[in-house]
Amino acid sequence: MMEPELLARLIERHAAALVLYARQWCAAAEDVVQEALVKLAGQRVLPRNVPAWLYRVVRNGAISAARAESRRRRHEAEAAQARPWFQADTDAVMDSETATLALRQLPLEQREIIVAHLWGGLSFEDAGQLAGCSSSTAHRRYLAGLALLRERLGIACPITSELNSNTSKRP
Amino acid sequence: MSDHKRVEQQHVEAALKALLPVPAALDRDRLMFRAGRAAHRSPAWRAGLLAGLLALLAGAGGTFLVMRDSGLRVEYVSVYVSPATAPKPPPPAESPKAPSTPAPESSPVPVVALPEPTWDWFASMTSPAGGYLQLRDQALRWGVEALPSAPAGVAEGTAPLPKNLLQMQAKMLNKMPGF
Repeated sequence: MMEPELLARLIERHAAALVLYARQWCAAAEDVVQEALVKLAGQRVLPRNVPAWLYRVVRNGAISAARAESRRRRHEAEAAQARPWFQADTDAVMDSETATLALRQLPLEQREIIVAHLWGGLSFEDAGQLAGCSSSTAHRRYLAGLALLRERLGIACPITSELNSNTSKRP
Repeated sequence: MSDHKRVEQQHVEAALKALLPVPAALDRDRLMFRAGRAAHRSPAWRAGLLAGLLALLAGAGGTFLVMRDSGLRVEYVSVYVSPATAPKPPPPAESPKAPSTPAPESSPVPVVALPEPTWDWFASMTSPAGGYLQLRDQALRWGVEALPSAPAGVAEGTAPLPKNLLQMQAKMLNKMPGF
């Protein structure tokens, strides 16, 4: 049986990333995450890897919710899609809305690996199991997604910028 | 992967990781309540199994009650009385016009000896200790044939019948306890 303290720690640590992960498929991400946490509390024996288990349940629930949402009115889904994914008042170098837009434009197979690894903290093996692929494929998708994001967001690497500035200064 | 690409990748990762996901808008109290309820809920299959077992037990008990032997049996005992010992009925008055047809004497006729109800037997039945109600229920349920035979003395007819109402009352009062 799950202790309330453990559940509170899991909510504290993983809830936001799980909601972000669920948003890759559906708009009612909070409901999906809540159901996953309740389901976890109902388990007699805790899973060996609790975060990976949670991400799997959230993924399945989000896909089911997305199917249900597609049957509802379209404008409701569009209004839900407009919700921001990231906090605006952070010290991040990029704008949260721009990042959300760029992330949304990525292919789903790359996006879910990036979210699970970068914000969920899952290993490539766990993320690959979630997506139904090998860990090497998951890593490859991750790198491809990062490259696309770097291009779209215009993130300049300090070394490259320094090199470019040095070449431009030369006569 | 070259070092340059690795540095680029790390830079993008750091830039993205600096973005914090929007906090989950979960109703924490409701979630904890539901989680606690889910943790203490017995699985549905267990309740179903228990209900099935109880239904099976009830069915088996009902079948046993219907099919079991009640233990009460009515046994019919035929008493054959030979013509030599049987009391001979008084010969009917001969009428010259009615021709008599004598019954064949060779084959004994089975005669069921029924107890002759006499006054003592009746009094013992009417007394509360005699179990009149029990005998009545037995007669209603299994028939008159199932009633126990009268005592030997009664069957022999030793107790004289009361001749008038006063004797009958006195006899009844003597038979009933507490009078």
